[in-house]
Amino acid sequence: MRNFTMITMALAITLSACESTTPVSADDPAAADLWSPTPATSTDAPSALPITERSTRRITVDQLRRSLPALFGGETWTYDGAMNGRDGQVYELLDVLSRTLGEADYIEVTTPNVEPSPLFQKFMSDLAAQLCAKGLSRDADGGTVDEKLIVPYPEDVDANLRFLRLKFHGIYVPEDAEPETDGLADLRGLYHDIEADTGATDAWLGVCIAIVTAPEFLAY
Amino acid sequence: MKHHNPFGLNLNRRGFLSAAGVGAGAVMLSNGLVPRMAHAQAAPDHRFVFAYFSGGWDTLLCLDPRNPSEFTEEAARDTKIQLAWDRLDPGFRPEMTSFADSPITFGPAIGDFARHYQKACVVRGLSMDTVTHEVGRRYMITGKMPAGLQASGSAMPTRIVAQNAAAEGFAIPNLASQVETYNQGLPTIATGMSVNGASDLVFALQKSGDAPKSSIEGHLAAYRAKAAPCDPVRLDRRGFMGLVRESQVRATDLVENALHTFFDFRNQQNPDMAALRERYGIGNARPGGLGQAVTPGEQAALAAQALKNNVSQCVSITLASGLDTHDENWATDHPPSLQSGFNALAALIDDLEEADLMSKTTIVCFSEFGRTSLLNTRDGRDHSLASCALLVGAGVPANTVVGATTDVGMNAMPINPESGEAIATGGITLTPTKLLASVMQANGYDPYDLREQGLPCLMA
Repeated sequence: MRNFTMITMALAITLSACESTTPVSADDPAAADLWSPTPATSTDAPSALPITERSTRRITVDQLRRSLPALFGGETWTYDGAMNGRDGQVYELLDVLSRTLGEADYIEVTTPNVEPSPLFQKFMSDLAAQLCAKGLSRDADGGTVDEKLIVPYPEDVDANLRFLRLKFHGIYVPEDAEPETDGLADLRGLYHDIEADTGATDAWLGVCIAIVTAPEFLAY
Repeated sequence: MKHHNPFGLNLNRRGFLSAAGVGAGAVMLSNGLVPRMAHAQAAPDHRFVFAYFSGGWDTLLCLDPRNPSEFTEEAARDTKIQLAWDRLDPGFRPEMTSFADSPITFGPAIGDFARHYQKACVVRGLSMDTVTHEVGRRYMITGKMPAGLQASGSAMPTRIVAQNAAAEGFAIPNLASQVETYNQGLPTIATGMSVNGASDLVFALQKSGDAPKSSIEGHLAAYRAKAAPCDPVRLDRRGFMGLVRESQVRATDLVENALHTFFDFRNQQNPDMAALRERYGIGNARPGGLGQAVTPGEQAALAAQALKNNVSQCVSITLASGLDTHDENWATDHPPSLQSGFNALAALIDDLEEADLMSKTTIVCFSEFGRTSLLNTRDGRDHSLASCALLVGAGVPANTVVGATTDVGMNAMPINPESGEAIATGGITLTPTKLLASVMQANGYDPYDLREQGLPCLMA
């Protein structure tokens, strides 16, 4: 009751402080006319409709599990227990680390965690380094252009960058695109920086890692 | 001109308006129209451990026992409480532990934690309003009732870290081992880093054997710093690309700081790790592989190392699992699992005390719900709406019991929010929201998002 009294007083004070405005009389013809269309007050073009599409999401562990072998000729991200002083087993890391990577087990965790967390990025870097190295190793073993995983066009850097951009990011870059606007300038720069430093193989490894860890690869 | 009013107040117009304004302000404050004041000043280095007992714990066995001489098998028809402690392994003494200087009592599976009773606040009669594992778990993790099975709001550690202006000082401010973590709309720094255990954490934090040579890494870092995203309008409208880039930088920092050394418990060359293994009962042998189940001791050690080495402000761990015992395995599996969890908790408290950290650490132990006070037809216990929680450390009213369950059927009783005593009529029902709001408020954090005030009886 006391609160109610105080609120009433506060409201009364607030309202009394307001500038009064002339009320519209019910007798005013403008107030009575509810049927005539109101003329537009602005001639501006209507603003763009809000975009209602879903937001960008991070790729899930299951999507990685299915897409990586397709991209790397059946290769997967593994951990060799024998090489690392544990046991003789070769672990499929996407399976072993699935919970840490945020995959739901649908027993205790029923919602996958798809935040691009630092831990996920760390694992993506590890994964990219291993799989790109495996891919380059496979390429070095020979095969036709169609069988190459990372570098089908070793003599043509731009052609190879276009190939990787399409294969991993699904972005088609026309052959006749201007180098300034083809969206490959940064990757081209990365390639040439590493090539000048430690050679072409390392350069393709660096480019491959950059592409697999890029937001364009992780988003869908 | 002044008028003497009948209430004895001398008011002119200005005085009246002034008093009215103050009154209106007081009303606004009292009605929560502005954020409530924190109970204490938040200390930026105050730490939290959230310890989860997974599966729904039997509170009779640990935090809400009954005297077996009163609650006999014969009396169970009337009390609807069946201890059945005579069915436990002989290693569990079928009796209740009580203390001359404390209202706290413990059941047979409390383990080593019993010696820390003077630091504890046992919360009984916590009304979970659900008997679904996911719902109860997420209710306790976020403090908000989930929408269906979907967690509602952010996890408590995420809320706390988001309010800590000094959170950047921790390498992994919010670490969650085998506990779900959620971030709904709070800064990225507060997002929980979710791991399966210490071995996964070591694997994650150390430089991979597959990492490219450092010169390539240097070029990659420079490339990532300047690379233009392909489609910023579509991909970065909600900050996704920025988040990826930020996370990549933080991931690199984690590796370069060699944090993995704190969690490599089976490192035979490090004497600190030998002491840690001894304290937490961690075996010398490395687990067969990655991703293996980890013991409560390892979980507790992970929390201790993260707090002691300033790696984390908040750590969530799972101290017991497999508690969902609906069949006769209630007698064989449930008590040892509970006891292992409480033993690990006791070791963690010892460790933090020796590191002089208990004065600025709050530990919250919880499960998704309790278990029925009567055995079912399969000699197990089903899910019960009434649960318990255990608070230990800073901001906790030590050596107290808050709330109670009825002596017939163990239903949650309403409490007096000031004293914490159970009352027959009136009072308030203890819920996870009220409990967690109290934990936040007691330590200087604002539980505004929970839309609840902390209870005086739960705040020291």
